[in-house]
Amino acid sequence: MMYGPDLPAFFARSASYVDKILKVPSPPSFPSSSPRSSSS
Amino acid sequence: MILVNFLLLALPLAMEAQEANPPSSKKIPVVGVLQPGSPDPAFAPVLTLRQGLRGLGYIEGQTIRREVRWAEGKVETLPNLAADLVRLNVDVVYATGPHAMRAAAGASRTVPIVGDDLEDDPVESGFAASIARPGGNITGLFLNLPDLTGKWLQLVKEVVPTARRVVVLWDATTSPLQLRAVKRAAETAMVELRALEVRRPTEYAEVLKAAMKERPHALIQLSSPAIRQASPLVAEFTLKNRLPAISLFRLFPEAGA
Repeated sequence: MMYGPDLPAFFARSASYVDKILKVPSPPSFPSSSPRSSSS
Repeated sequence: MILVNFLLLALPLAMEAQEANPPSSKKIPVVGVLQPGSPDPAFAPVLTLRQGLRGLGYIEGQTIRREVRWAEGKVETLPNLAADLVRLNVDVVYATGPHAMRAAAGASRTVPIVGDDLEDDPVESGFAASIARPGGNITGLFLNLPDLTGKWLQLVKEVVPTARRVVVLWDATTSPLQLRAVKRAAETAMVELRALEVRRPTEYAEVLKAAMKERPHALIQLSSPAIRQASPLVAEFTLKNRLPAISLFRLFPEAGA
């Protein structure tokens, strides 16, 4: 027997995650909260 | 064969991870792909990623590049391969499986990581602070382990209503979360559970043979890349010994079980 989610469909969603990451605008469009960026 | 869609845990994207991205100089974005197994372009996660990106309009070599690293089953090499990808300054790392996830997470706290990890819980495994506010640089899809293992036991009881002794094949190189989840589910189902620990592919046959001495009523296979690989061997064994068995992987019924 097998039971579980449809794994190919499961994996297919990763491409859209990758796409979202690549398309996220660069940091200045977000309120800065990192100590690293404010201390330098 | 039973195939049902069910609850998945999707980790929302943690935007702060993007701060690590150098201001892009309009170069072709590079996806680092970290894989535990042997090179196989048809391996479902790798194939679906490529097809998915193509479907989203990316053209390989022109608008996207992939750097793929295969550990060829030697999961201990994954940290070095992950470090390799980070050194190449990839824009995102896509990792399959718990070992690759850990290696990627250990290699960088800033490069965004997308993971398909069937064996971990993102919060309990320390990949995210919480589902709602994950923080950090990791996102991806995880299974709802308590839900899944509970369903497995339920199915075992449906197929073998008298099942009291169930053995569980567990890849001890993965986190104990799945095992813990199935143990909890077994308590609820009033089933006696015994874990069969395997670490190396060469151990499977022997461990299964030894387990038969306890006259188990059924076998549950927890998931791991190595257990998936072992599906044909386990299928042959369970058929020969007439042991009802359940798996997450299609490879198992495909192998005749």
